[in-house]
Amino acid sequence: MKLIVADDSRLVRGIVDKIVTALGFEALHAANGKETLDILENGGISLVLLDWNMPVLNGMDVIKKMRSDDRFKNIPVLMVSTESEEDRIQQVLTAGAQGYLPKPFTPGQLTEAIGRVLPDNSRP
Amino acid sequence: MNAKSHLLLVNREARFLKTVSQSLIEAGYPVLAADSKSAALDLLSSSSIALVICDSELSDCDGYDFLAYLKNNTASRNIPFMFLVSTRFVVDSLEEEVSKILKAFDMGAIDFIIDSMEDDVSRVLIKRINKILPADFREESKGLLTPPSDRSDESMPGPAERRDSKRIIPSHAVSVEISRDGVLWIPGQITNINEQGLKMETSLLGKLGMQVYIRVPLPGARYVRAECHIRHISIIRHPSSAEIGVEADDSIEWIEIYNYIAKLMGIVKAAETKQIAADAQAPLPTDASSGIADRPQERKKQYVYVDPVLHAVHDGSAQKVLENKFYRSLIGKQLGNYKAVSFIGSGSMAGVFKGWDVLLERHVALKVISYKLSAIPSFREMFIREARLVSRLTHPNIAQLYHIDQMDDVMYFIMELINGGTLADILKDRNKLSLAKCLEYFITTCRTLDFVSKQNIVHRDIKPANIMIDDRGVLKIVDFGIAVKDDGTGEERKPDGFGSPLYASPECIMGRPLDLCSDIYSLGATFYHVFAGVPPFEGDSDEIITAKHLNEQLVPLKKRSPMVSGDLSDIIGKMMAKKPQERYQSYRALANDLTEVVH
Amino acid sequence: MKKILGIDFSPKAEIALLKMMVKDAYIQYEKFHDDLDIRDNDMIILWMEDRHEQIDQKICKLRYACKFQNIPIILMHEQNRDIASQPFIIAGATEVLSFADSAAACRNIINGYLIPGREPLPEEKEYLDPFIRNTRHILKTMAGIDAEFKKVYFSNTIRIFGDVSGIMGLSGISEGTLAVTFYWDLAKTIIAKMMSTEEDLIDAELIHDGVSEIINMISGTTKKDFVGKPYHFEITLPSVIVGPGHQIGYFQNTTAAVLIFEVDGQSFALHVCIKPKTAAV
Repeated sequence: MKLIVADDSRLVRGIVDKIVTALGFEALHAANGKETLDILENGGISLVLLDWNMPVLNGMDVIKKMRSDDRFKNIPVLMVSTESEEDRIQQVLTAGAQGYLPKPFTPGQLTEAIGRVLPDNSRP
Repeated sequence: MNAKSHLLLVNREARFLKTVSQSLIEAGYPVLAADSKSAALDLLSSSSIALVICDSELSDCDGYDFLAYLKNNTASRNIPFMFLVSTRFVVDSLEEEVSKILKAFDMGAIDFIIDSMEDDVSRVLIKRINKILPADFREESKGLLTPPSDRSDESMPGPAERRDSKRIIPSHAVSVEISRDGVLWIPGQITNINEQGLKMETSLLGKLGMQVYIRVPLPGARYVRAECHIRHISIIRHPSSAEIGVEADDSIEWIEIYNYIAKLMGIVKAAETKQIAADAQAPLPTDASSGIADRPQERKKQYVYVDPVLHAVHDGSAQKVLENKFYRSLIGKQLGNYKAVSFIGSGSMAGVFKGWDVLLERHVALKVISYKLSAIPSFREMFIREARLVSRLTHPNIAQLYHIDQMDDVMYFIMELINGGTLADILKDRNKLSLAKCLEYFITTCRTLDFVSKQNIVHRDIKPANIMIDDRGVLKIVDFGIAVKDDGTGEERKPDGFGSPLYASPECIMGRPLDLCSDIYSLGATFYHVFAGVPPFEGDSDEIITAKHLNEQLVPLKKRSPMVSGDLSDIIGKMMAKKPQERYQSYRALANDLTEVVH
Repeated sequence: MKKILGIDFSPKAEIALLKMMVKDAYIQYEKFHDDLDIRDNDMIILWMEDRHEQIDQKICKLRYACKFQNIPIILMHEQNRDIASQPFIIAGATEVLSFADSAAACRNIINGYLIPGREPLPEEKEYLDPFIRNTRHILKTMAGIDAEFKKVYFSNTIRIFGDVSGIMGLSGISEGTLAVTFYWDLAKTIIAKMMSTEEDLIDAELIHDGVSEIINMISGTTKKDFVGKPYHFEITLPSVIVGPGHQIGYFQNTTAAVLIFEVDGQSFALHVCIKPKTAAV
């Protein structure tokens, strides 16, 4: 089962990769919003783990594009960001993300957050 | 140009003077040399000088002081002044270097050359002189020898070659700043530039593809900044700096930066030389280009690298520098029961901190008296007497004195902290001031000083900076630091001269004993400034201003500011009469007249 | 009794220094060497016979040995004219004084620097405590590292002496700057632990990403704690810089707190300069 780890930080992609690989996912890396959309085009993605602040196209723009495209609008998105104020979280959820995980997080918290946004039948 | 004109080379290093003079003479320039301001002034008075080329430090003063002196003097004002500074003696940070260069340009210098030792400084100098002086200067002058060939000294590729080989290696490092967020700017040195972008050595550790801004300070304290992307990174002096290559996005800003740097590096096409010479004559930015300068609110956000504790370095003596070093040593410390929280500023007699009273748990102003004055017994006594006087001044419009104490020999005062700004700050944005508000401040100040004068106290330094408006709108008169009880003896004197020349009374300037009439003059001058938007007398130097206070007739306020009534103009005119006996003799009479203006 | 370490003093200079000494201070003299243990001293005074390149290196090494502690390093020389002090200050000196200056001036300045640093005000504690708590929480959560908060001191500038630093500009209701600064070894250790990998695999890009992420998380989580308070701020993009000796601004009417943390005997520092726009002067 494939998911996208979208973050401009190679470090964060590395951290997330280790955790999700252990959960049985195949992680595809994207360093910005545009790369995320490019990978989505190829199909077969079950989940997108999305950073908010990214160059070229930021996380919010990616959500908006995904939600307005029939092919992607049902793919769950988990936004991961350091900013964890209530209004920020609301903004993300309103835009169409299924979940929000504030940084810093433990492997357990990431696993739990993925569990919340992913339908039971689509877990690895 | 006078046929006998000379270049005047001023530098404190004899060997440097000799080498550079020799090269200039060989290049056909008549040169006079001096190692100090005094020697230079002698030459200026006896010879015709076409250009002054000066070091930043001379044997008897600072190069900037010399520049200021020349620019304030009508006879020498129009002589172009160029700095030639040797890095052998001054190794400054980029911030200091840039601020010095900008300061030089602001003061009227026409060029600023740094001798990096890697270049033949004379060659660079001759190139710049050619841009400043008319082409026929050498022919006109006497010592016509072999002029240097512009071609032979150009190691840079000519225009045609440049189009082919785009990369240009600069002859010496040029400073630039780089930022990721447009707020924090990190200095860098350009190592390589072409029309697409540049390479620089910097400590910003970016990553490939990252968007960054670069900016270059231009004369006139303005910056041009351009958006770029990082295309190359290598760690060159691990771990202290990196070389990064940036590709610039197409923009007018980038073209301006490229052209400016190219000009700085002396790699411009010969055909452009004339234009640059014209630019050099007018170093301030033109309106056409000011649109891309940082907006004022952005400028505000930029970090100021000048240490406010030491910023008086250039306008003060070595003593002042030491006093400021002393105040700096107290930042983040605790004196007795008072914490020095942050530094507010320093004057001629004290450094002021925002303080915290640990027992009463309240903010206070902590005023640390100069250790030098504190150490002199007669001054100590004077300060204590003053403190007694000021502590008696319980008045809502006077900053309260709470406590005095000492740390070893050093005295400090604990005073009411006023949260707000001074009238001087408010004057910078006069739109905030209505005529009615100004009158209200005027009357309040007048009534407060009436109260003060009844205790036989003269403030002696009434000026906009000593009148504060707190954040509740209450006016407070501060800094009775040089206040003296007027006991008729006139013996006590402020340690160093008088208060601000812009508001000083004629008798104060002449060092005569002062009474309340002197304060009335300064109060008049202060509110003249408030109503007119300009001080009553202006000038480029203290001497000029004080001379005007003594001799020049005051332009009636009404003429400067037609909005004010003739009565108010007359009141201020009377307050500022040259002879004390022609002014108001009491604040009561003054307050009565003012109240009538209001009604 | 204040303990001062005098380094590289000639006998003549020792005598000159005596004139500037304050009561209750004891000077111990040593020659400079790489393994000087200076942590227990209240002040270091380094003697500079002639200006030469090495002096910057010595200052750098002494500053490094202070492990972010606010030990004043005074550079003494005997030249008559005012030498440009900025390069020495950038290298890590606190102040540059000359025997040609008045002894009273030097005595007062030395005395000023010997006064112990102040403790934070209640209002400063209110905004520093969340930074301390969150910094520890982030390192614990992301790297399983226990960082201990050691102490705080205050300055009117942010002067960074670590090898690699993450800087965040703050804007909004409050303005200011945050800067976290590490020595190279500790930065690598933390980042390797964050990634559960070997330190040898940490390259420059990962150092960049790691330091950038740490300052991002410190700012992002603390910002949440300030919702509804005058200290609330918005964050910008973090900048990562390498090398020591950077100075970010001088502050008038405000102050920068330097929080020192320790991880297994190694220190790192977090500089916090935060100024509510509505704050009283």
